[in-house]
Amino acid sequence: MSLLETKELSKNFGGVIALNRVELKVDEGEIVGIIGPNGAGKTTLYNCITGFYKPSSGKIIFNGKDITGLPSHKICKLGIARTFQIPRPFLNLTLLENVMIGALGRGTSLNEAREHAKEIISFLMLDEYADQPVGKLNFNYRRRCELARALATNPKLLLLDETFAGLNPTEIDDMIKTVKKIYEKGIAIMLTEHIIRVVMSLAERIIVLHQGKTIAEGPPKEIANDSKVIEAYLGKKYFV
Amino acid sequence: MTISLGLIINTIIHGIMLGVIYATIAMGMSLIFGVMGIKNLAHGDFAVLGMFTSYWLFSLFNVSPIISIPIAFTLFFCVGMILTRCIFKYIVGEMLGSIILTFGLSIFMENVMLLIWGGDYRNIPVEYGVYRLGTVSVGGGYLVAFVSTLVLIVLTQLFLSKTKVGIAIKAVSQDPEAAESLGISADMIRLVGGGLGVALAGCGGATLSLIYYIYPYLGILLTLHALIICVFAGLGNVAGTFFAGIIIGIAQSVATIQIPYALTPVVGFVVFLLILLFRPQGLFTRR
Amino acid sequence: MKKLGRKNISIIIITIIALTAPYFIVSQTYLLHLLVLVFIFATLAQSWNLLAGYVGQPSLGHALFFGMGGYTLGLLTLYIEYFKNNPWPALILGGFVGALLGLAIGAMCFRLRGPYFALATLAATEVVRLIVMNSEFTLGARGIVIRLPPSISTPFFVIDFSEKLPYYYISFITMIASFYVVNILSKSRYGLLLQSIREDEDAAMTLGVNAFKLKILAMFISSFIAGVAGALYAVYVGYIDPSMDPGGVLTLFTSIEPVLISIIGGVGTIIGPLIGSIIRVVVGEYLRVSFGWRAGMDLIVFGALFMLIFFLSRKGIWGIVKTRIKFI
Repeated sequence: MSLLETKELSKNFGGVIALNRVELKVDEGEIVGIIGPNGAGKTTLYNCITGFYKPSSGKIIFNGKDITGLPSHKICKLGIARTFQIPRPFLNLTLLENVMIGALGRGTSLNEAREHAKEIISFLMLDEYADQPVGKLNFNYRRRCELARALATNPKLLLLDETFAGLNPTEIDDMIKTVKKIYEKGIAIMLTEHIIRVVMSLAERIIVLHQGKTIAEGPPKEIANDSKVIEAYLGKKYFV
Repeated sequence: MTISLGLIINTIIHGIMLGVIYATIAMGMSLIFGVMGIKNLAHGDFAVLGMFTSYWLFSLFNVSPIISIPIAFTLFFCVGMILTRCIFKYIVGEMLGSIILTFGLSIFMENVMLLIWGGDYRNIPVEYGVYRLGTVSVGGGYLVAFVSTLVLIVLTQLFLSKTKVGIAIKAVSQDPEAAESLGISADMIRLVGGGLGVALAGCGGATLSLIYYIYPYLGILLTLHALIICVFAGLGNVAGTFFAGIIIGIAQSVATIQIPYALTPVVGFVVFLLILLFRPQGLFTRR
Repeated sequence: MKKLGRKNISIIIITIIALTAPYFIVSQTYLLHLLVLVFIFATLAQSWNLLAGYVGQPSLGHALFFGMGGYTLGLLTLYIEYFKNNPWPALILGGFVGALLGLAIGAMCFRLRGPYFALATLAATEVVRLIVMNSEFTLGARGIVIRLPPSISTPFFVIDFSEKLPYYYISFITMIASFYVVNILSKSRYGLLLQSIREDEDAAMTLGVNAFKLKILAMFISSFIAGVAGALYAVYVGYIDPSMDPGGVLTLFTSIEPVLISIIGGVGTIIGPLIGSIIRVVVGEYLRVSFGWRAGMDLIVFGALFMLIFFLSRKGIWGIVKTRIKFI
């Protein structure tokens, strides 16, 4: 049984069809990449899965449980965490406090949450910034704060929304290493990305979305050579 | 009490008339919200100022309250522009901030009025006679108030939809940045919008002085009333406030058959709660 | 650890001073009277502060909980024999009535974003005031006179409620208790979670925070405290009415008091409401005494001051509120 499964997931806004009967699966411990041109429906997909939007039709099954239409906080408690395309940290709180909130979501005591948060912060090597208000940190570290926060909720599935956007090449390499570390912990990861080399090097499997529909699915090498995908998106052959 | 058809028709007619008058004030509030994103909690107090303007013009200079209506309009248009330039301009778009600030303004204004004029209930003692048509009898004051506000509303609507400035106001309400990129100065438009909004309040108040008694605390009641109408119509929906005002006016009027007049705001409040619970975006918005 | 010790010791010292000082000024009834008012309004402001500073929901109708807390006590002492002779449990009941009203409004508004909560509290206060004004059960516009609580004899001394001293202690203890509750709350996991909701409710939800439940919790505590403060005010002043004049407990003028006090004293700090209340009461009294102003006129000055502070804040208007929660 897959960890996450969507069945005929659709979402429309007025006349605009954002998701059109999307069927996808993510297994435990997998890294799946979601790519597609802007407007393909990637963020809408995330918003549906995490309970921000109610799907217009279709189902989302997580760990065998139907989570369609559940409120966000319940979905988080069931084991799905996400980051946002533009980081949304709690600016007036410190990094440690931000991560603690993720840890608290599991219903632990304040001290336990603090310990857990410190572990995660060490894991992501952010120790020196722990007591700074996140409002003072730069974009890269806000990103990492988001990541740490999401990890603190002990997710089984982590949804990364263009986590690599806006990073310079060194930062990208660091982030790739970080994502690999998370993967090694056994957390399933779904990541949407525009930066091809990232997706190609991290994902075991890639799903391509275009205009709300999945037009291709498979291992990176296959996708790179799939003519439909190239047509819709890549523009030229990409050799891994 | 026997409820005859005549009574019902009379009630409904009065409801419509009152509703239209309140709608004028609400329209001003909606306009200010639309063009500046500000919820003006002192709006009702400007209406009360309008009432006092009418009162003093009558008491001191024997000016007929009917003439006061256009005078109030002009006066409060200027007041509105000054207010926009000095205060509103700086809190554009701040939802909660504008509420708190204008709340403070309302308290300030009411206490100043209290200080200057005292808390006594005043009234403009002009008789307009009573007019009858079949079973319906309407006080002349009501009739005049109704007709003038109707004219005002029609003129405002025409202004908003047919003139260049009016359309610019609509544009800035929808998307200030887009409007700016088309060469419209959002600042200027906000001046006009703010002026018009407050003018409608002051002028609505002057109209109200024909039929209602005047006291400083009326401000908060009028503000709440206008607020409820605006939320009912959908915030920013200026045209919708007209119909919303009428509906609520009728509802309140009909309610007076059963409950004492002083309690009629409860009806508005119940409406408000129902809207919050079931359709917070208002009845006439297209979502 | 040293710093913590120093802070705690200074609190204890101040408390001891506050508890013993009255014996030295017991003859200064005017001063005692002012202090009682300071404590009561500091309590009210603290309750508002909890909601506005922590949850980010400014209530414009805290007078509703305050006034109805007072009316609860008034009605209980009016109609029920037990309370005629012993109104003190009614303080707690007043709190519960306040809390009930708060829960009702919260339940309706907290699912919505935006200013609906503030507007609903404003409207609710006015409507309830009208109902109270027009209902025979609450004695309408005549208001309720609350009889003097009978003296309580203890082995050492008699507590005479016709004097200010007992009220001083009761209001002081109430204030300290409310401050303590809010302090505990802010240092607990709930405090942190509430701040996250205030910062970014959506993001907090994705982290498993049940925003609605927490907001309701904060609302309950806030309106409970406000209700207790109102009941205390009622029994102290001895009279309560639904009039719209400044001084009426269900007016918007009362609703703005906690807002004024919190802004002056510092929103989001635990000691802020006390500082703000002292300034408010002292300056208000000074204005009233030196210029012979009636009640409400000092609101002109404070209203203008309030607008000025708000307006000129460099962090933008709501920015003052959205700062880090400081403790002292």
